[in-house]
Amino acid sequence: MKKIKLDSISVGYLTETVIKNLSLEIEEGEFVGIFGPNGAGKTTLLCAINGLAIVKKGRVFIDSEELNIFSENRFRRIIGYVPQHFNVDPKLPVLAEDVVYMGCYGKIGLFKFPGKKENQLAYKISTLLEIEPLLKKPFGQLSGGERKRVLIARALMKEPEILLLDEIFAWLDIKMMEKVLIILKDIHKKKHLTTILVSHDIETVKTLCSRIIWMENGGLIFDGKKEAFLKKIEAE
Amino acid sequence: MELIGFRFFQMALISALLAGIACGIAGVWIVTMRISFIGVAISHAAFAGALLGLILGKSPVFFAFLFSFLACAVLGPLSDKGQIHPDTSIGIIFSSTLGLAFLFMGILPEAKSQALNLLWGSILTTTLKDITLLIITLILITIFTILFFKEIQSVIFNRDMAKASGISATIFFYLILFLTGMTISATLKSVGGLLVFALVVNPAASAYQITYCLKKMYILSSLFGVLSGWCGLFFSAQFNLPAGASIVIVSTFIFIFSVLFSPKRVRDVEEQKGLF
Repeated sequence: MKKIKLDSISVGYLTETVIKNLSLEIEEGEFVGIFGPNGAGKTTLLCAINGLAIVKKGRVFIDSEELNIFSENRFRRIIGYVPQHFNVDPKLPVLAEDVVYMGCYGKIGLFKFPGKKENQLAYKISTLLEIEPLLKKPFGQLSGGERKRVLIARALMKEPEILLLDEIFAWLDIKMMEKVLIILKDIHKKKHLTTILVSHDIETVKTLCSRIIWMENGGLIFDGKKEAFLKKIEAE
Repeated sequence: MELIGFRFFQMALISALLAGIACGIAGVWIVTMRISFIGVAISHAAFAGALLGLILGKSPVFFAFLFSFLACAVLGPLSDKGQIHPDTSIGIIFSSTLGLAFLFMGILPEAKSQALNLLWGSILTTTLKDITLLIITLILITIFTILFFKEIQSVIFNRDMAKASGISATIFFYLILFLTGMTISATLKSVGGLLVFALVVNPAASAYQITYCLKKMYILSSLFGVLSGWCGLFFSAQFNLPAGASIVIVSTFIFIFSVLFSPKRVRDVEEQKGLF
């Protein structure tokens, strides 16, 4: 379970800088919710932590080691990431089962293939998320909610130490949303994972997270305990 | 059928077998990653390189390799993180390599027939050296596919997600481009610079219509590649047609049939009717 430190980072893509001069520390085992309107830079922040976005200025640390071109693959193998959007050609020859296993491919390493341990883990996670009936279906033909569950399973397959969850409740029906909420709480309690949940739904953030970060226009508006956040909202 | 007794025809059949499998495998990468335009640009670069080799009196195959590798080295970053939209930059590379090819054809002092052979292909003049090159290419591409099946599958699925899993997705993407360039260069003589890309795309696109399993897609694509090569050769011999063009036409017919009888298409139609 790792600590994350962002030191005055400016993050963006080729021509655009989304996050400007942001500093943040997330302690190991914390469950942090990032809340804010569209375009606030929530997804970009997650991409900065796993090295998918370009950190133009500043530094990202996992524990005390800097995330850079030499260390990024090692860190990505312990970071479970569930993306917000995911479009795939419905005809792509990749089954949901393949996508689940892909989660552990980096961790397994080159020239090796999933074995008994990975098979048992895949079975356990699939049962937990109720995706066994979907496993033999093409991933591109699953509904939005089904895809989300498969991608959550994919992220858990590497037995991560850090979990980055981007709008994971979008597309899920109420019943499944409640189930995923319980699973996440349970995993966090048992494994003490450092977890960051991005959502534009304040209710889910309030339910799951002990610390809440409110982002707007690439900067922090609020960062503190859930109770302080609720007081602030009430005051406003 | 009596042609089978001739050595030149046997060599052509072996060449079609090896080229069909190699192009079938490379085609799976090109089709599933939707980078057909990059593949066309690589094949034209290989053709331009081969012509430069002829002008300089050096090995056309070596220069085809060199040019296709250079094209990959430029196209990879452009498709990844270019300032210009990838379609635009790849279009410029594509037209430039084609322009270079025709320029080289124009200034080729002699041996125009050699240049035309490269353009249209001359599978019936396959030499032992060509076969050796195809065998080496096929061995490399097969080993790469088997050893790195899971990494290639992740890259095909989504490059960013492959990176997020801790896979060196960019390196694998470049290796895929380089091996595609190598396959195209090795197949150039058999099918020709203008048609080689059809042998890469058509069999894989046909297999794409049929299966949801990547392993099966590799096998089907290679089978269709070999079938195109052998049937094309047969029609070429039977009706006195150009071999390269016949191979590509057969591969196009296989594609049309696979679209018409695609289980995926039937499923789509049934879904639209609410039957599935």
